[in-house]
Amino acid sequence: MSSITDLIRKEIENLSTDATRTNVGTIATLADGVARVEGLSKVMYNEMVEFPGNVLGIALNLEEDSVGCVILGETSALKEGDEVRTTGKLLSVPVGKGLLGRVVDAVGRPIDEKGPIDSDISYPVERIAPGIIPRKSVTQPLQTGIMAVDSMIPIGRGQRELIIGDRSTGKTTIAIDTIINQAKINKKGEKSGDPDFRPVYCVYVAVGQKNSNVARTIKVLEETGAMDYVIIVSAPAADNPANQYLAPYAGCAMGEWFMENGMDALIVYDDLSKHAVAYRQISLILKRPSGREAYPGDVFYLHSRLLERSARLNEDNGNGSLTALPIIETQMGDVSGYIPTNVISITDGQIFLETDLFNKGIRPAVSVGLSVSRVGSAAQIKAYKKVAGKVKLELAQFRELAAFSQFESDLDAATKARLDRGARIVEIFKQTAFNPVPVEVQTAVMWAIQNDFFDSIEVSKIAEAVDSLKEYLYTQGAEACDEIYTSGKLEDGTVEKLRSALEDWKRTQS
Amino acid sequence: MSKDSKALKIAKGLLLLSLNDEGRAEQQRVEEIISELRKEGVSKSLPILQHYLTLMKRKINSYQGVLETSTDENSTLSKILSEKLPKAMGKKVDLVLEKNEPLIAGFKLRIGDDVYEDSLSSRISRLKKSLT
Repeated sequence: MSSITDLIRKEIENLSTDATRTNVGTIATLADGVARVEGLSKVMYNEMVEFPGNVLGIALNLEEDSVGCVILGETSALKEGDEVRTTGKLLSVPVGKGLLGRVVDAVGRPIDEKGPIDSDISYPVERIAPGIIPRKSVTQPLQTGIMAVDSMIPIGRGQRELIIGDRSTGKTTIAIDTIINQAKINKKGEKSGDPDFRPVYCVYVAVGQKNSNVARTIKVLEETGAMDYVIIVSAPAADNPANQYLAPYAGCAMGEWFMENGMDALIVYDDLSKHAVAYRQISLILKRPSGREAYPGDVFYLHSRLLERSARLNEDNGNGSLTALPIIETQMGDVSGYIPTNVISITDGQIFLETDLFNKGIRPAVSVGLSVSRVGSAAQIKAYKKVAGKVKLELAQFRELAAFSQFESDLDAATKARLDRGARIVEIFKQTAFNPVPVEVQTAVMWAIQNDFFDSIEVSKIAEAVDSLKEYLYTQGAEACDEIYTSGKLEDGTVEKLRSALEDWKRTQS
Repeated sequence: MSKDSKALKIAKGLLLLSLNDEGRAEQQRVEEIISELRKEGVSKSLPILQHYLTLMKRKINSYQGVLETSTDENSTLSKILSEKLPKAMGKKVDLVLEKNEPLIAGFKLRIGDDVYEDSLSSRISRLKKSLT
């Protein structure tokens, strides 16, 4: 009893007894989660304002006679003439490891019914991206666990790689696979007790998604044990556009905390097309001048200032990184749309997913010709670089030859060999969802391709053979794989062990 | 220029005409302006009058302070404020006294968009906010 009264007494003592000064205004108009407020003459851009009933808003449009505010909560109780107050604070969200395993909304409030967030630090949602001096070039790999991506479009820690494609082509699956793979690597690394091991923490930002989709994603992450390393920021389709607009920035602030504290983090923005649509809605209600496709003039800046916050910092600044995987949905495979071209130009490469490939059963449906990583092999371990170097070229040549060979009845031996190898590579790269492959196993499989271990297997049976090889590598080939994992290199001794393991496996196939 | 922005521009001009040398609105000038506007007809004068009203309210609020207290007994406070406000604000401020019982004790002073408050109700609400 006395402790409760002491607590309240202490709170009263801490309260300032001086007169407070606030700047106020009144709601002139209110529509679709946006209020035009008269007054608020001293409000700052992006400052949080308080509406009656503890409803928060942000001042987005500072005009001569009024202020345009987006409202971040329930608007049904608000009415014209209500008083609005400035708070003197910028919108901030809680950050830190206490958020791992939690699902929060766009302003960092828990929505998973697991109690309050264990965090006493907060970061403003809008922050300036790191400049040139604290940055470092991207050299450390971030394994997605997807063979087609890790071999041909490698991603590095601190990179921004766009995942782009039509609806239902597996964009989210690539992102979720990457998150699951980070969790697997983290668990293995923590178990090994290696002091130099750097785990990758993940932030998944769902913007404008159906609640059922978000629930499915959470379920997958929980079932695969990845949730312990993930923060989910959810602003679903039913949420107001202001929250959908803010969610990526809030998620980015949470990721930045890891980066600025010398850790590595990965952030997935799913997806920025819906984010741009939410921003367009806000801008139109705020009566900002509209441009192409009715988007406001600063829609490029909307995404550039967000994605520029992903970086690899140098040793003087903690050596942390924030890798971004933004997702963009195209319409009918058109990458020349306004928002797709904007985001393509901001990012360091893109993974383009094709509907045709997806429908043919080639999954992940990665288009080799249109996908690129500007970081390239700098973000691959030495062993992988050695075996994956030629694959992209071989696959690209195969796609080209396959198109021409449809009109040819008689093919020369060299062309036939290329077509055969290409068909096998396509089969090897097929991978089921939520089943990432460790880098050492990928390296061994790639080495097997380069050393013709799959040449004698019928194309229709390749997928089955790859599954059996992976299984074999996890058990009998574990020694060679462990050597690749620890050294990151393909040394002569390792190659011999790998060759012998593969020959043993080959015998089981015949 | 849209009709509305044209009306706003005219209203701003009318506001300047309504002010005396001290920058305060004068009732006689306002009455003259309104009688002139009446001649223009409803469709033309209404948008101008609406803007004129908003601008006028803002102007009056800039030199007129509303002092709210929970009781009618506020002569000492209003005297102190009348003496100290011109120095603090850098201009003369007219005080209008109002009774506001929900304040419980203390005062609330509004000048323009700024609200200065030291009342018991504001302290209770701050305490409530910090405990939740």
